[in-house]
Amino acid sequence: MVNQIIVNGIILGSTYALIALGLTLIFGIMNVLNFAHGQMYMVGTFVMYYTYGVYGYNFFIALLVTIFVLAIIGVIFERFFFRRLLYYAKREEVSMLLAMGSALLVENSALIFFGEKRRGIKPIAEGVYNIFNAYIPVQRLIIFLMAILFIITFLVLMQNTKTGRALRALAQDKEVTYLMGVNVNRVSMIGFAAGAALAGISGAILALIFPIFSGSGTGMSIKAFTMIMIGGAGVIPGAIIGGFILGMLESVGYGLLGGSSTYLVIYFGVIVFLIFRPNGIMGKPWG
Amino acid sequence: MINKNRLLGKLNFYIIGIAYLIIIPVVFYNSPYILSIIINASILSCISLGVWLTFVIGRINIGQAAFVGIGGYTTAVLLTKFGISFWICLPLSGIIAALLSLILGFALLRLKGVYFAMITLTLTALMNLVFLNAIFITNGPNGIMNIKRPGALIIGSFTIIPPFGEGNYIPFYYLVAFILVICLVSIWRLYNSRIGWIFQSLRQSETLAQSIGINIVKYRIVAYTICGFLGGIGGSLFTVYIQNIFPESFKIVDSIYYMLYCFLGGLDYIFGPVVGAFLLIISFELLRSIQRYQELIYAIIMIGVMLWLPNGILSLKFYRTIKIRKEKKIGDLRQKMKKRE
Amino acid sequence: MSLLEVRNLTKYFGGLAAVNELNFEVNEEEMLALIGPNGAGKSTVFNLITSYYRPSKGTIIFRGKNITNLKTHQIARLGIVRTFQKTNVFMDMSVSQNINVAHHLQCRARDWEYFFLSSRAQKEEKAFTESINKILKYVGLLSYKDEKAKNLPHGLLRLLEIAIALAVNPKLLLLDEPFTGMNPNETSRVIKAVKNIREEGIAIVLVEHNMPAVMGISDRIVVMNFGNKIAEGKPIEILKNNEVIEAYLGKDIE
Repeated sequence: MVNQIIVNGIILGSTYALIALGLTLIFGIMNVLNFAHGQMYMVGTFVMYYTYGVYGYNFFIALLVTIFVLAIIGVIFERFFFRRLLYYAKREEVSMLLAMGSALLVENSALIFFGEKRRGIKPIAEGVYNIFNAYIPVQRLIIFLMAILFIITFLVLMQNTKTGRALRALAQDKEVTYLMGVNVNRVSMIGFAAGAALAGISGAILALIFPIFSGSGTGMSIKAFTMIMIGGAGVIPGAIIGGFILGMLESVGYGLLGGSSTYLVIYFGVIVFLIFRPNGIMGKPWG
Repeated sequence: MINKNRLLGKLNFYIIGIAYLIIIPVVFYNSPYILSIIINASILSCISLGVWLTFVIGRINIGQAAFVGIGGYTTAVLLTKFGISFWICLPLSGIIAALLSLILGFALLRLKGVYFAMITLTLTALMNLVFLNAIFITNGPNGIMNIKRPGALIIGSFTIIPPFGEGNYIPFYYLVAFILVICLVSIWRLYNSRIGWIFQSLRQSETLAQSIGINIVKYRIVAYTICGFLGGIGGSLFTVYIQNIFPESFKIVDSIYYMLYCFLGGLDYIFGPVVGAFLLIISFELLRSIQRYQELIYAIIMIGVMLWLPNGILSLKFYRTIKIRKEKKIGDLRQKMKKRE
Repeated sequence: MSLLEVRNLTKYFGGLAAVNELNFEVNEEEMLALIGPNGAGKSTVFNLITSYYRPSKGTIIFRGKNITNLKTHQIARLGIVRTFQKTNVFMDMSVSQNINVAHHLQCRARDWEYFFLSSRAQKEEKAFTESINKILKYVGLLSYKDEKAKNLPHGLLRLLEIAIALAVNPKLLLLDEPFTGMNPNETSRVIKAVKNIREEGIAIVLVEHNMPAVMGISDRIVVMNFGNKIAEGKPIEILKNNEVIEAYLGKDIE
């Protein structure tokens, strides 16, 4: 039983880490909390639903489509919503409310287009492995491996490419990066697109095991915030740690408490935790 | 010229006051629909005033719905399970919500900016779950329904307020209007007093405020507690007005709306949240046919306001007078600098 | 008994000692300059004295009372006020409103009295109005009374900072690089203000780089480098001190 919980937690945590990475990337480079992150996850689930579930394309092609669609959404958000604000935001609250507005926009547009129906998609693999006395459906193993693959790819790209370095520089000091000749606007756009894409990818992957519906965004946004509150906002290791910890907590919670009490305990615990460590495990302080 | 503006401002104020307290109830005496719109907007204004106050001390508070819920459930439970008179429930709801803000404030207000926003968001989500799970008090997902309208307020042998009959909205209108006016006057007095300046100093520089001897912890908590109190009162009023309450009656999106009302009206103006709430609620009723898209439209409005009107509507009204004053000031300053040379 | 006594003051950031076993005293009505190259730890000392940082080791004693564990606003109440290296005023308020807020510690009336505007509160507000004018005249900002702080040029903002500190009625004033970024005209204004303050009997500790200004007005100087005190004494003595010269200019000056 314990092994099962741990295994579930790790698998869940890996996909959550993807979400947290996207959120932290956007927060790191633009100092904006992407309230619409959960909605981007939701869009990812729907893209996967239509491409793979309805139109029957190959799962991996559907994944690529998801990345593409979400990247475009990310670009639109950065270019048309947030870039304007950075020039004359009188108060920091303005960008936050804008982010909230964008979240509501995406969610309600989805509600209008897709309706409230809950949907699901066919699994991509059948069968169950039994490892360490825990039952791991083959599909979940594939999900885990995909998530890990994306995380590693992301880390490698951030570390070794010119754009990756530019993003990290931007997160540290915007003005200096600008002075170094980096096209800050373009890099911000790429960063936002990448963040959105990460949310979309985890949505596409989790569409295999979680229900697909228009309202799934809000819950996931809160989870994403919880992850970076735990791990620390704006820092990559923090995002990964936060993602895994939340995955583990959720797994343990559902195993021991079941249902709605799980997140009650988790939210309460996070609030208490933040009293002692306001910046999370490895966070960068705001402002 | 300045006196003229002041006079005009005061006149506006009296006109609105008379319209609100006398004209509307008299004219729409028999039209519960119109009255209910104003009642709704009034309660929302009270709640948003609380959020406004947390903006003044420089915090982004997405947690107000939690306190509205607490106030609402306090009233609902005390009314239905213990039969306590509404007239005690109302202030008690405010006080309990305030107490909770007080306790939470010590922990939460140390955080700023995004972190405070996120934690208050979590608080709202947490409260929804608490209401959902505390079945023995709150009835869980079934909520509490068939809440009776307030009875009479009788002290000794004097009936101060007659019982709220079914279908008659006038007493409710006056109750809510009365509370809103008191809240506005109180907050107005607070904001213009020394304490209001202290609050503003907290937003502009907590470091400086500390160094000149201001106990920033104390004043943050005062503001946050008042905010919670207003939320609690609002929750109590809503509960008894809608006559039911459920765990998700007040959720995150409501917290966001309270903030939107503040922004729409203008964060620099006490009347901001009131203007914002009334404007949105009334326009929505006028556009009844598209109510299905209400949330979508709110989202678009939110984005629009942030992009093009971040200082709110009230900032437009005074734009002309402020511009003239500013130009006069710059002229004066130039003259003074010339004199000094 | 000295006004302020700093004993074995130490602050670690990670493994690095920003301030290391620092000992010095400030006497009543004295002007002490705290100098040293960049990164010597001078501003950290201010932050430690006024409790923006907690010391890793050591004690701070003000008028015989151990203030090491007090909070910033309590220390202000006791009479120590500081200014900041980076300009720190209430930008959205006018000059006079800035000073008005700074009268916070002078209030004898309770908070609720200010809410209801009791007669005591009214009297105090009136007294403050006069005090504000007096202070503004003192630092030479009276003509900018109603100007929004964010519209003021840098030099005047620094003066405003000093005016704000004065409104608190300090016994000890900690000025953090008050001359930074000022043209000669502004510098002389600040020096004049500082001289006026000294005549009121307020002790001052000054952190500065601007040597001529410091040498001319200080009674004593404490020199820091890498968190340690490397010299202490009268200005003339310091000028001749080899270690000090080394710290500022480096070893090889053939």
